[in-house]
Amino acid sequence: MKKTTLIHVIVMVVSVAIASYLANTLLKDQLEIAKSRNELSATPLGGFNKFASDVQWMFFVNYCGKAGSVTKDNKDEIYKRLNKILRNDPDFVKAYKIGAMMLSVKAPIKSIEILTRGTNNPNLKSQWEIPYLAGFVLLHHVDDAKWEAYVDEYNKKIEDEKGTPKLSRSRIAQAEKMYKLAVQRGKPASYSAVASLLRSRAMRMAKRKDIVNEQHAYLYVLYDIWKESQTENMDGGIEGASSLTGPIDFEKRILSAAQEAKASAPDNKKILATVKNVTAQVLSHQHLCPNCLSKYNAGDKFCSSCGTEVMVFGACEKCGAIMKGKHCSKCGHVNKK
Amino acid sequence: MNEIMAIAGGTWSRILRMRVIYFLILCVLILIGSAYRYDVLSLGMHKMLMIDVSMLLNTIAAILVAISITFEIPKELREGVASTLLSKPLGRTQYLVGKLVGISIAGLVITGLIMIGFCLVFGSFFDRVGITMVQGHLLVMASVIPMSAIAVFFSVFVPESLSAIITALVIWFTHSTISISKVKILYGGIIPDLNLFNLKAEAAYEYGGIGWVYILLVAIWGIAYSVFATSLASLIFGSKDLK
Repeated sequence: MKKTTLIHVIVMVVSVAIASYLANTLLKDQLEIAKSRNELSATPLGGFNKFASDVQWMFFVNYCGKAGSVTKDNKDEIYKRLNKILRNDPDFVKAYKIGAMMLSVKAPIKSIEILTRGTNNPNLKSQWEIPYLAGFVLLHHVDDAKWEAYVDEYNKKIEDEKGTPKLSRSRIAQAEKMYKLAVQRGKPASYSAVASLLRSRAMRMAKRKDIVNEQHAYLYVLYDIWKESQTENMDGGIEGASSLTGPIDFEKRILSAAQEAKASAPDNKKILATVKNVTAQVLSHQHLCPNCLSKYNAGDKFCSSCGTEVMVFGACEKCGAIMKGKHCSKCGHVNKK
Repeated sequence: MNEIMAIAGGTWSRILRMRVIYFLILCVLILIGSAYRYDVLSLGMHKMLMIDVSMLLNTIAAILVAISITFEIPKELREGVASTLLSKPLGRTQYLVGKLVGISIAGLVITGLIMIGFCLVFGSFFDRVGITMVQGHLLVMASVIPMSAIAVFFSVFVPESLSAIITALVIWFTHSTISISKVKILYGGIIPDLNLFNLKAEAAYEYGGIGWVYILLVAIWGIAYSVFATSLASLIFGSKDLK
């Protein structure tokens, strides 16, 4: 072998070894940077997948504009186009939201499928709206039979995929999971997500034997959260119970829930027991009518909503004037209690 | 070394003296800027579109610069340019290395100008240019080197009429070599993975930075692969009979 040829061969062997080693190391680094790379379409587009997705998106917008509305005839075409866009750009948040909501009425299962993919995307962990919309579509547009059939098929398909969470067979439980994710991802948690989580939890709890109806279940859920936030117990319950009481006017909500629960079944012992616990522990600092739970003001002798006699507070024992301080401003009397 | 730099200097200065290059760069920048007008059609995604268009056009410019060598080498061999050098020992290697260096420098300058132009255009329409966008463009710039090496490789043994097409096809498909990543020595070593330079989506979305170490290592990979491809091309070229 000539000297020059030998030099060439040695240089080739050394350079290919270095290149090969670097390429294998860099591939792992690249997958850490590009977390959703595995979701990309296998079609060789010369690395221009994102641009292709942009062009497909504009065609999609144009198509939907011409179509006017989603119908039985065009829902499959809309889904197909949306799928292509998301296969080329799995991080396209707008496509998930707008596209999935477009399909939510005529093709709700396909809408859920798209939103679930968005929810599981590791790059979109800060997007609370995607799981929130999934929960919304599940509760409002999907029926149990179709959902169960879809879940069985889906869970079978992802059996070998590690890291992909399975779907719950119960539609309400799955919606609750989605809302829970929405609450966890929103920093701070959004009002809509929190309210929806509480409602879905109540819907699930309504099936328990010790729960009378949905109003009772909702009150029970709020009471549970209040108890968790007091004891700072995060185990087994919704993580960060205080993050749920923050975004919503919690006291107002639990009072309203207690009123609704009592109104739904005024003589039911279970409901009355729950209402009693709530008023004694959560709303102990408020003055509430024992009948309809409406607030009443200082000096009132009867409830202005239902006329029930109430325990007077904040009034002078001698002349009945409203107390503004320690001494009555009308007669100077100091209340004993 | 002097011969290599002389050939490189001749190559890049000839390319960069062509006024049509700057006209094309201007056209690229106008296209990038025109993406701003797609706000209605894209439902507010015009900012992302502008970034993607800039990466696309910069990559195409890099590919075109690399492919230009597939016309230049056969033309010079036909005209007998550098025949003195080619007859010397290692002369053919020096010739190919000089061409690679020259075209790489020209490619880096052209893609660099597009990157700077993009930053100015984007900055004038929107608030600021993110560092990850710049990193995405730097990766495109770095990809000029291995693409030029691929072009040099094919230009030494594939007929002139086909070498540009084959080079373009190879560059296109080597952006999708992840399917053979399990074959360690083959992947990224013998068959290049130009997809390592492709973090366009991540640059556009600004997830949290690409990492300067990654960019540096990818550039080193590009150089290592170029050395391999050029050595192989030189071996083939050395055994070829020039008429």
